[in-house]
Amino acid sequence: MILVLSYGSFEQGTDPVIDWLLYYKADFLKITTKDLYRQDMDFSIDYLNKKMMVMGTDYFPKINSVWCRRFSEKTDFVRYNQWPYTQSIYELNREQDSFQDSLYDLLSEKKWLMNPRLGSINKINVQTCAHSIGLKTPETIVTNSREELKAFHKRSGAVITKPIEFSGFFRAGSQTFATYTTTMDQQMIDQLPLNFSYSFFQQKVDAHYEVRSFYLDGEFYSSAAVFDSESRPADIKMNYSEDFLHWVNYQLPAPIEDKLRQLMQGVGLNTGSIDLLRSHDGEYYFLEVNPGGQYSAPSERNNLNVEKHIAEWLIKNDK
Amino acid sequence: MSEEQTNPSAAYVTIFEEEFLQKLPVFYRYMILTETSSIGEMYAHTRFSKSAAHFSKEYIQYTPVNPYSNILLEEKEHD
Repeated sequence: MILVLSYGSFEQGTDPVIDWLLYYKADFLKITTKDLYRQDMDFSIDYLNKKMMVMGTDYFPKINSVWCRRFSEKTDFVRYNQWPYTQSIYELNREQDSFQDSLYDLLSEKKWLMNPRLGSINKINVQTCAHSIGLKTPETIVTNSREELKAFHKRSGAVITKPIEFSGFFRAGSQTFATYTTTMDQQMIDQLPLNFSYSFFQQKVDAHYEVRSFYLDGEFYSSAAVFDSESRPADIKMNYSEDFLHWVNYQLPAPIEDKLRQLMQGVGLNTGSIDLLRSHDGEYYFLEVNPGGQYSAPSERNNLNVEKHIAEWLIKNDK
Repeated sequence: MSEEQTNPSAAYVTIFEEEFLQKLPVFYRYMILTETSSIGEMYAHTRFSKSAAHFSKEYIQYTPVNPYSNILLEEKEHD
């Protein structure tokens, strides 16, 4: 049996794989983080005797492969936004983290697609690892100083800033605010205070195009995002639907794939969405890997059928 | 959060006042304001259904724009 650990709310990367599991008549069970606190699904975990009772059935001996797909949704009791509820929700979320962590240990002997403890793998550490393997990576600093940033900007030519980890959408009714990868020009740097909270800055690569590669247990499913406009935006997420963005199937050079395989094995990931830039002078720059990254856009546009390959991996390892 | 403040360098806005921005990483100074309905990932006007087969209480019957041409070929090979 296949265990799918996923999101309670709609998650664009999960259902297409389940479509294929249904098509192949695979035996699977899906549990979401919401199921854990919603109280409409009876469950009981017996750690010492290795029993995982869900609705009266012990699934532990049946499960062979586990797909961890964004099993990270937190409690969303939004109407309780004042103390003491805020404190109890904070503590509840820590309870959830500990409980999930115990589940990972219990199921550690199963075949996992994505190490659940690496869902928020540190991007700076991965980039450092990529650099040590011999992949080109953009120069990166974290600083709280405008003068340090000025010096970095001077020696890098162009600089971007983005979160080290994550920033989501700030929805205010019909309007939404969001942060994207931002190119910092000299004027923007000059307007910063002398000191600010420590922030991530990176050399902006003079990129010809961006490559998105979905990695699955040694295989690569790659697409290039090619722009027909003169300048490539710093963050293509803002231009997914524009006419000037074209997704094309892409074959990474074998030496780059070999190094990426080495990197993924080195950091303990058997799947992830890898972002690379190809510069105008023909170099490949590794940017980051998102273990639970979205793959639907390039997969659908280029008929890569990533969701089918994921389902087949889970079925193949269900024994 | 304060009223949005326009950054004169570009079409950036921020929803935080300067005093709080001082405590935040720099990227919060460069937010982009977008109509919620135009952000696909927000599923602002999506009507969800349920699917017991998918163990989903928020399910979308999604129809891909591309034909499954290669799948049809595979099925033909199996025949």
